[in-house]
Amino acid sequence: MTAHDLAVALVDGALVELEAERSLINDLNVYPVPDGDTGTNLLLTVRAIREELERSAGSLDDGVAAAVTRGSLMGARGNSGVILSQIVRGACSVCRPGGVLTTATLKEAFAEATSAAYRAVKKPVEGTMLTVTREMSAAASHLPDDTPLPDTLDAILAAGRIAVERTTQQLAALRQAGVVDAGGYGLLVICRGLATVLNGAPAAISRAARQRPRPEGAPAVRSLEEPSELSRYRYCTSFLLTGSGLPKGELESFLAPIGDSALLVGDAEMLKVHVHTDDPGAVLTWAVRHGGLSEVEINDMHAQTRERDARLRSAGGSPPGAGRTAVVAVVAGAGNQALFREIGCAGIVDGGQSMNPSAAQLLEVIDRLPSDDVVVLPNNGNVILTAEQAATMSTRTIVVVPSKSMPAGLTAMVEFDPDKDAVANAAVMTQALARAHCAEITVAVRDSIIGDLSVKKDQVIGLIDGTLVATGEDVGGVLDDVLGRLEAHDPEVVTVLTSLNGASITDDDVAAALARRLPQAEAVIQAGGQPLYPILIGAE
Amino acid sequence: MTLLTTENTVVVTDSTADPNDRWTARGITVVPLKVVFGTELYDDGTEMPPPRLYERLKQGGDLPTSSQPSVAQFAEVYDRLGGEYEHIFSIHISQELSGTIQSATTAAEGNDKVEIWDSRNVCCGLGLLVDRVQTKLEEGIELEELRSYIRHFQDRGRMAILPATLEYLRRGGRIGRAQEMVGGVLGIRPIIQAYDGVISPYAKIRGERRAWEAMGQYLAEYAGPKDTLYVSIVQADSPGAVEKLRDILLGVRPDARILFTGWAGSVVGVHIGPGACAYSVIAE
Repeated sequence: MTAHDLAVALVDGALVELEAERSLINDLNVYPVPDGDTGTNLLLTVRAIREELERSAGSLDDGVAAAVTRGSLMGARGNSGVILSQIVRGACSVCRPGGVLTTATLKEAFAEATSAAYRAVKKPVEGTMLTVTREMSAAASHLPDDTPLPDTLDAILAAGRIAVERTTQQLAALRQAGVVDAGGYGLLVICRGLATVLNGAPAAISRAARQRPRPEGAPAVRSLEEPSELSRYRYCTSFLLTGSGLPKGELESFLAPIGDSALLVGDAEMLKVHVHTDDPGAVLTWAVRHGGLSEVEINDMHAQTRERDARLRSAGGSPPGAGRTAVVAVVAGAGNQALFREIGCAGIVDGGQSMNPSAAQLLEVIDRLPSDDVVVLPNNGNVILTAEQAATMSTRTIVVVPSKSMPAGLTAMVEFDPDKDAVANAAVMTQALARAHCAEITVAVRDSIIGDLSVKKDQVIGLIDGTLVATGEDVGGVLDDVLGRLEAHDPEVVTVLTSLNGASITDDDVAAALARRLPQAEAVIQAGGQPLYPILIGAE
Repeated sequence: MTLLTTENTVVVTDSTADPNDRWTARGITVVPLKVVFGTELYDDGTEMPPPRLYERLKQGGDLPTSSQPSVAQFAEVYDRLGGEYEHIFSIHISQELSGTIQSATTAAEGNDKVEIWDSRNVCCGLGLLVDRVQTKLEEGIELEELRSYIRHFQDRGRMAILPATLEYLRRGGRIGRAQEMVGGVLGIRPIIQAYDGVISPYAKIRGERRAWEAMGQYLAEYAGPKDTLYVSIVQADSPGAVEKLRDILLGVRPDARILFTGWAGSVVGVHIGPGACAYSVIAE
C-alpha cells in the first residue's frame, strides 16, 4: 500500500463516519439561527482533502501529506472547518517519506495538531474542538512509544469521548441546551473513522467521493508567486525540473552570482525552482542539461512594476478594483450583491448564511483582482476564520475586516477608500463596525432555549448583534419588537435589507414600522434577496 | 515700495467666482464664462442668472455645458481698464478645472499692467480670494505684500462642497479622483473639497444630518485656534442651505467672519448641479 493509497483510505474512513453523522452534528448547533452548519462544514472540508488527493494521485510520498494539507486549507469552510484544517496541517507536518505509522508518530502528530489548532484562533475557547484535540493528544503522550497501535488508538478515542462529553459543562450555551460541542464531536467522529481504517477494517468506500471526476487541467502544485519585494533583476523565472540525482546544491551556487530571491523546493527527483535574474536563458540552459523542464514561467517584473505604477497614477474613470486596494465581500442575495458592487466592492463571493464559502473560493475571487491590497468582508461570524486563512495563503496583502452581517459589511464599505492601502482601510472600516448594530429576523430551524426565551422550530425570531431578543408567530410582529429595542441605540441611519417572498408583510409595511418605531432615523430599504432571513437591519 | 489702492489697482475675475451685487459697486470686474445649451451660448450671470438656469434644468432636455471666456473678452477688459489703472490683478478659476486662465494669459501678453493669478480654487473659494484682495486694496497694501497674500491663499484656501448628486460633477469631468466616489445608494452623501487647484473626495457620509455635521467638521479640522477665519457660503438652488451652513459653521467657530453668501454662479451650477451648497475658508 502506497502512502497515497493509505491517505485515500484514511480520508474515506473519515468521510464515511462524517456522512453518517452529519445531520446529528448539525443538530448539535445550539443556536436556532440557520447558519453554516458544523457537520456540513466539516464534511465539505474533508471532501476537499479527498478531491486534492485525487488530483495529486501518483505523486511521491512527501507529496501526499502536502496534498492533504493543501486540500484542507483550501477547502476549509466555517470556523470548524478552518480549525480542522489547522489540525490536519499540524498532523501532516510530522509525516516523513517512507515513515511508518507508530504510536510515536501519532503522539507527535497530535502534539503538532494541538499547537496548530490553538494558534489558529486568536482567543482559544475551551469546550470546543481545541479542547478535544488537546485531550486526545495528552492521552497519547502518556503512552510508551512501543505501545501497540490499536491500544494507542483506543486510548485516544476514549480520551476524545470524555473530552466531548465534558464540553457540555465548559460552555454556558452548551450547558443550557444540554448538548455537546458540535465541532468537538465532529472531530471525534473523524478520528473514529481514521482509527477504523488504521485498525485494519476495510475502508468503506465513500461513493460520493469515488464518483467525483478529476477536474481537467487543475494544477497539482500551486505555482510559486513572485514575491512583492523589489528585485534588482528583471525577470522572475520559475520552472519545475524533474530527473534523477538533481544537484540542488550545485544549482544554488550556479544561481547565486546571476540572480536573487532564489527558492528551490523539492528533492533529487523533482525541484521547483524560482529565481529573479536578468538572464533566464542561462538558467534554463543549465537546467535542461540536468533534467526535464516543465511549468516554465518567465515574467518581466519591470513591466509589472510599470503597469502597477500606471495603475496607481491613473486618476478617475477606473473600474472598482483598479485602485490600490480592492474589497472582496461574501454576500448572499442578488439585491445585496448589486448593492455591494454599487458602493465599490470589486469582488463578490456568493454565500454566507446559506453556505459558508471556502478559503479557495475566496482566493479565486481575490486572485482575479488587479489590486495588490485586498480587504475582505466576511459578513458572517462563521466565515471570518476562513477569510483569515485565505489571507495567509496569498502573496497579496489581505486584511480581514471582521464584519458579522451584511448590514455591518455595508457600514464598513462606506468608509472604503481605494487609494489607501489595505491596513489603513481595515482600520477605519473596523472602527465603523463598532458603531453599527445589526438586527436579523429569521425563522428558527430547531427548538431551543436561549436565556429566558424559549424558541420553537418554525417560530419567527429576532436577534440584535447575535443575541436573541424577540420571538413571535409573524415577521411583522417580531420586526416591531426588534425596532423597538433598536430605539435604545438611538440610530441615525437605518438600512433594511428585505427578502419578503412568502412573508406576511411587504416593503411598505416595513417602511411604516420604521416610521412608527424609529421616526428620527433616516431609513433606506433595499430588496436584498438573501435566503433564510426575511429582514436584515443595520443601525448606526 | 509700491502702495496699491483702489485708485491705482483693479481686480478682474471670472464668473466662476460666484459674484455678488456688492462687487460691482466696489469696482470688481467680472468676465463671464458661457453656459451652453446645445448651440445657444449665454453669458454666465447677465444672460443666464442662476435662478433661470435651474428653471431651465427643470424643463428637462439636454443638459448644458460650459465654455471659457474668449481671449477677446479679456483683451477688451484689459484694454479698457489699462487706461484707468496702473495695476490689474486678474484672478481666476484653477487651470486644472478650466481653460479660462489660458484665455486671460494670452490676452495679457505684452501688457505689463496685468498680473494673472491662478486662485488654485473655484466658486466661492475663488470669490473669497477676490473679496479679500479687494478689501486689502481698499485698505491699501504693498505690491509684494499682496502677492504674498495671494500665494498664501493658493496654499491654504479650502472649499467644501455638499452636492446633492455626483452626476453633474462626473459628467463635467471636473471631479478627478472623486470619480470613484459613490453617492446616492444607501443615503450616502459625498463631500467634495477643492484645494491646490483640484477637486477631490473629502468624505462619504451616511445620512443627511451627519453629512451637514461633517461640513462643520471640515472647518474644525482645517482651522487652528488662533487663526482669523474668513468664510464665504453659496448654494445652487438649495433653499435654506446658506442659513443652515452659516449656523453650523458659526457653531464650530463663532469667530469666523462670513464675507458673503449667495448663489453659486451658473457655470459652477452646471458642474455641481442643483441642490448643492458649498463654503470656502481661508485662515489668516
